[in-house]
Amino acid sequence: MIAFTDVRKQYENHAALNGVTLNVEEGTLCVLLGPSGCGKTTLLRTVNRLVDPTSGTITVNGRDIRNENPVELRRGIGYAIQSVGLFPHRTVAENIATTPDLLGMPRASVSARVDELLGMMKLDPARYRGRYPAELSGGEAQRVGVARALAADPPILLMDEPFGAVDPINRAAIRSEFLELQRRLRKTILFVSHDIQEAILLADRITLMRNGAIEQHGTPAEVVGSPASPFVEEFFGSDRQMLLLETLRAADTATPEALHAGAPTIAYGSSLRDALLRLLADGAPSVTVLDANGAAMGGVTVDSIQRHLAARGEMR
Amino acid sequence: MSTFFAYIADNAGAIGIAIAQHIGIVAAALAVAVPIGIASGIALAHARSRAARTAVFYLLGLGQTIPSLALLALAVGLLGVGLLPAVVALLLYAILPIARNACTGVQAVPEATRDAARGLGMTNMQIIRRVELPLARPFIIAGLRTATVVTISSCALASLIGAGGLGDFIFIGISLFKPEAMFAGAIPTAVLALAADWFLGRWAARGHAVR
Repeated sequence: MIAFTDVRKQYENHAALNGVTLNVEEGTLCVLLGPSGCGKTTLLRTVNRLVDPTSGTITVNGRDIRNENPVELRRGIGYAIQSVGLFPHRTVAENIATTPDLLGMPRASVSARVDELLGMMKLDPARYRGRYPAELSGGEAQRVGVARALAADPPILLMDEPFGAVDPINRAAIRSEFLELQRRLRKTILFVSHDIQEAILLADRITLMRNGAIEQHGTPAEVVGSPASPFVEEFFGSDRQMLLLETLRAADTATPEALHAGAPTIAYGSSLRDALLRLLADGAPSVTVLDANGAAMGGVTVDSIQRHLAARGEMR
Repeated sequence: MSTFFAYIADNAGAIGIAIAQHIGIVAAALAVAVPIGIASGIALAHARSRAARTAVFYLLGLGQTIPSLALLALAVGLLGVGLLPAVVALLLYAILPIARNACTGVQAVPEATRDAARGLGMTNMQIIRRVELPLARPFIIAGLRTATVVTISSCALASLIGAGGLGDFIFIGISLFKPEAMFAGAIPTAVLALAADWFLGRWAARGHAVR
């Protein structure tokens, strides 16, 4: 777990962090969201002491990081950044092996680990191990960047817009692969983003920041559905209700009464937004939500979506 | 032409010794200048203050404008005649191009690469050795090339303060008006400079197209 208590960072003429108190629970992914200059990257960088706060306390698994050696602290925390920062003079395998090498892990096990990570990132080890970063596409480079962050199997990951520099199609693919991976690995992740869709898709918790302080912290549905301030409401913009549908699972709204034979179907993990789009696209009266095993568990109609939103006080 | 070959044949042993002396003086100067140049280049690249860096390079550049002959004379004043003042004067000359290129090379390392290296847990020394130096390598070799060529040619002047080398033949040729002696010193000097330049050029190009 990462715990920030009243963390402040004062630079010469501006305050980057204005008293941040935040807990990131073990095994959860917390997205730091907000406009540029809101302090999200600075907050992220305080965790591995790339930035030392002016005041306040940060503990990682109960240990105050001020008492840790910064270099050793960093070797125990995964780090991936938007510009990736792969070492251009080292092969993909050497790049991924950076932290294990620094930790003095035996060569043979590092090599096996590199192959395992490339596999996780859907990159064929035989083809990619020996390549240099200049020979990778943007998406491949970011996958290698994430693999490098995971290399020493750290319990905590810091990710600063790790999928920022990829084209939209590749970005969607990398995101959902990463989400799948995180469901398996259950790392504690602090993830900086300025992309609302990305935050809603990946986050267990969203922390919306503004001017170096937390504006609102909660589950995506809480933050999108019940904005704590006009700023939050404005941040999600005019399609906030559509975003809210994206944070709600169709399975939670589905009822057996709304089941219709021959209705189009959507998968278990689908959002209400997926359900609504399906209803509109197919012109069907209802859509059937399948459970994890592919059996029909209930139907969703436009009416039931409206009732669900009304119950949350959304349709005014 | 025939007098030239006759002169070479008659003085083959002495020319061989002069070449060896010449290489020895250059090697001694570079052996000291290279580590100092690279280290100060790295240090300057990491200097907090941009103004300090500019000031240092300005002063070094100013030093470079002192004619090598004057620098040799100055060295004699401080260290007497012979090998030592020649080596010292030449190494002072060689430091600037090496330092300037090393500094440029380290500054050219992308900030993201350095940030990643630090974030992954490298110490400052490891960042220099494993990231900055390899990435600055083409720049450093370019500086070394300049320094080597300049040192080989300026070394001909070292003869004037009794350090020996190929300059001996050049100055004998000038004072006795014996062109064959002058060429016997000048041609090997030029060949040495060209050979060093070619060799370092090959080294710079080796295996570093993609990386």
